[in-house]
Amino acid sequence: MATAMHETSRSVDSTPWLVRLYPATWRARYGDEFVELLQSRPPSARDRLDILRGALDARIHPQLGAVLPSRVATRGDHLLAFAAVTVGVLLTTWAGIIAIALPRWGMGSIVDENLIAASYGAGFLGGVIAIVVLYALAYRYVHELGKVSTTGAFLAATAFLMTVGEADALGVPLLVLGTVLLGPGLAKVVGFPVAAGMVMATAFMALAMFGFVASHGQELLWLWLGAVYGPSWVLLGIPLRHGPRQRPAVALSIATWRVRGS
Amino acid sequence: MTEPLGEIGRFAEPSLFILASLGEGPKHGYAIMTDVEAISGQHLGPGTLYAALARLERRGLIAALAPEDRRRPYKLTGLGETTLRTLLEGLSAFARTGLRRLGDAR
Repeated sequence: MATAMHETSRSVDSTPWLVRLYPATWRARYGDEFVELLQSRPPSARDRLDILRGALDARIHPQLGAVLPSRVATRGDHLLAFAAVTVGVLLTTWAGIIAIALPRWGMGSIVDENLIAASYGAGFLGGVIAIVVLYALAYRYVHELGKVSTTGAFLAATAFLMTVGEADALGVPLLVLGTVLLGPGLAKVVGFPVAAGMVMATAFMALAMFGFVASHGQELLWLWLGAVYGPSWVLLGIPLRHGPRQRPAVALSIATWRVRGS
Repeated sequence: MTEPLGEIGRFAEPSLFILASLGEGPKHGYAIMTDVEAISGQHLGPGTLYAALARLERRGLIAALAPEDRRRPYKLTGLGETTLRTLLEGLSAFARTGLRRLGDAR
């Protein structure tokens, strides 16, 4: 009993010395939990040898202890963010002008015909850029999105292609489906509120388009498109400027563990 | 898509044990160490454990959760789960082949 207590006490006392074998960057990242482990289970002589080898390994590979930056943004990420914000601005401009021109608001006469025509151009351009953004999103965030949300991004891009081609009756339901599938993965990239906001904005827009919301479906559609759906793209773009979370840059070869079956 | 363990070198086997342990749910270092002993019968030294954890974390196969006191739990990422499944299916196919050949030899 006394020997066991002496052994435990000696092991605990040696813990700081054992941890100091590791480089400072490693200790900053793993030091606390490593000390906790050694105090929970005092190391045997074999464990101490193992710690020596571990410390040597950490000194040979100092990058292992370095804390990875949480996000790594490239120029491409900034461009992607800018493109998403542009989509939002263009859609909002388009829908805003059309909404003002609607007879319901009594301001149709003050909106110039050329301005209305230009707004449709803005909407068309917004749709085209949205397609590029969705494909870029699927490519850049393939790990975060996973298979389902990547499929959602492709479906949403296809939907934009259909709406740009004026096949709204098919495009908008497909856009809802794509955005719903994209939502869970998107939440990992831009946060839950932004992703949920975009899913809800899309779904409500579809309901308004098909006249399920109140009696003035079309008017509500333009208002919603300009005041909510467009801004949801702006909100999507803002966090995209930070880029994805850091991942290892080193590509690894096929594992020796992968054994072919017969 | 999987991140293989081939270039993890001598830490490939401990890494597989750690991934298998985390397959059950998040665990901190001490819990991983005891669980690996229970499921594999192999002792995982503290130095080896943390060398493997650092490599797995850096490759995005596991992720650290918020610390509980000084203990920090780790969990499998989606990539880690896929990788573990691929590795285990590969080992399973290898085991089946080996056992069948043993049977054929008799």
